[in-house]
Amino acid sequence: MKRIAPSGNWWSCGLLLATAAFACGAEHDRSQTLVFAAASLTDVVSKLAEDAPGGPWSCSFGPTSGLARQIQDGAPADFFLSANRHWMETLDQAGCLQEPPRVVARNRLVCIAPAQSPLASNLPEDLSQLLQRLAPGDRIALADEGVPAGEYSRESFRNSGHWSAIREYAVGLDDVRSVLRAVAQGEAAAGFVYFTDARVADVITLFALDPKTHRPIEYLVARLRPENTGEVSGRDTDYWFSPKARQVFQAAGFAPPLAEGQ
Amino acid sequence: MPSAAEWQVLALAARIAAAAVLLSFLPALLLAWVLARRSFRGKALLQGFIMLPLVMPPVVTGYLLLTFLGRSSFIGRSWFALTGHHLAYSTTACVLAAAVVGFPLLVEAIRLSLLGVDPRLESVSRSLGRGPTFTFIRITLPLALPGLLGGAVLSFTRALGEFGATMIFAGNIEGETRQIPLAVYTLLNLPGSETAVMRLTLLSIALSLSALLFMAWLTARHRQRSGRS
Repeated sequence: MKRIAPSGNWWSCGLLLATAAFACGAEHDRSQTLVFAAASLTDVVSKLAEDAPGGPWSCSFGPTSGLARQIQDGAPADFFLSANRHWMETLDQAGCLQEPPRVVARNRLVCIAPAQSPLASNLPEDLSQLLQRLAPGDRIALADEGVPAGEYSRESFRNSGHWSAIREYAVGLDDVRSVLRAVAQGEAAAGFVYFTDARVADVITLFALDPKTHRPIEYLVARLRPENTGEVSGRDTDYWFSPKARQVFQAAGFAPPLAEGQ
Repeated sequence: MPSAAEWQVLALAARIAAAAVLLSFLPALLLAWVLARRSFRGKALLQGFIMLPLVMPPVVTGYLLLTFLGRSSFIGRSWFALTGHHLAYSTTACVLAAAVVGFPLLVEAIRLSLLGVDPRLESVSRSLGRGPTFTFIRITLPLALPGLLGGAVLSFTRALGEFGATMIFAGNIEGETRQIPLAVYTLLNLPGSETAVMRLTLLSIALSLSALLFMAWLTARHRQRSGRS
């Protein structure tokens, strides 16, 4: 009496088989250089990896914190570019680095709003004005706690005395690029991202956070220990400091490191 | 013993999961009944559609939810006009994400248990002059009860573990959307949080396991009772 229809069990079985089939032979090829980089470096590092010596390098982007965890757990990566010192030092103490990390670029934090924002008619110029002009139910998107962009922003709000007010509106997202997307889509009324992120999406930049209210935003690069890099040698950190790399960083809006040999 | 912060996370998680099950129960029952008792054109397609959240990456589900229910969407704006609250980035968003992702489990469990109910028993009730509603409530539902409970517990535990769709659609807000997986994820972002992560992991296992044991106990009790009568 019943027509035969594929039951849910078949759907589940199919999914399981497909997963098993695709999971086989998916290990990273150690002859190719792999770069782990903070989400905010997505555009510059992709560009540099494409023209890198010895063919295009592959990249993995995400929150510095998440990538650092993976590296600690032995993820096969050659370079790590971190968006703060804290995680780089944690890795250094864990013995994951092959050399002392060096500052490769600097950045700033800005407040952004959607391109079609109601704020656009009368741009707020600082945090107090922004807080005054938010509507009830509005959200301010921040990178999560522990994610560098989220830590710098929270540090700045605490030091400028705005944290308790901002907290009422704050929604944490997994990395700075998720904040950028949420604001660009109009889901959050405002968000805090790096100056360089604001340039790659259709958003309006309202104001910059005072750099004196947070630690300097520095990107550090280091080559990882052999357990992570595999046996292949000849990958030189100097590529990240070559004139070409400098130019790519600068074109994207990053500031150069303060002093040589940092 | 769990700390105050851990209690907050556990209580929020349990509330979200319970609300998700309550929200999806009636629609799931209705669809399961249609799938179990009716044959019609496009039934396989409907069933496939219902199963989608189970086989789609939760991140994709979250993205779709944000796109169709977000602040800039038509539904999102209408909801805001009606209630004065936004759906995205709220506890409601957590409930919706958990309900959508757990929905296939609920429908499937109910459908299978309805298939196990002998339609002749329903015919007998109808031939004795009882209407379809009475028959459904007094004959079909009690017979399918273990499946209903099983489905409810399965979707409850699935809701407890919901991460991907929630992260996108509800964000990570302490006390509002930070349920167990998001709390673990937040801790993982902080260096030196291994002990805290392990504590929360154990608590999460305890909560899910209790739900499953509760289901086993209910089923056993139901068997005993129906055996006696």
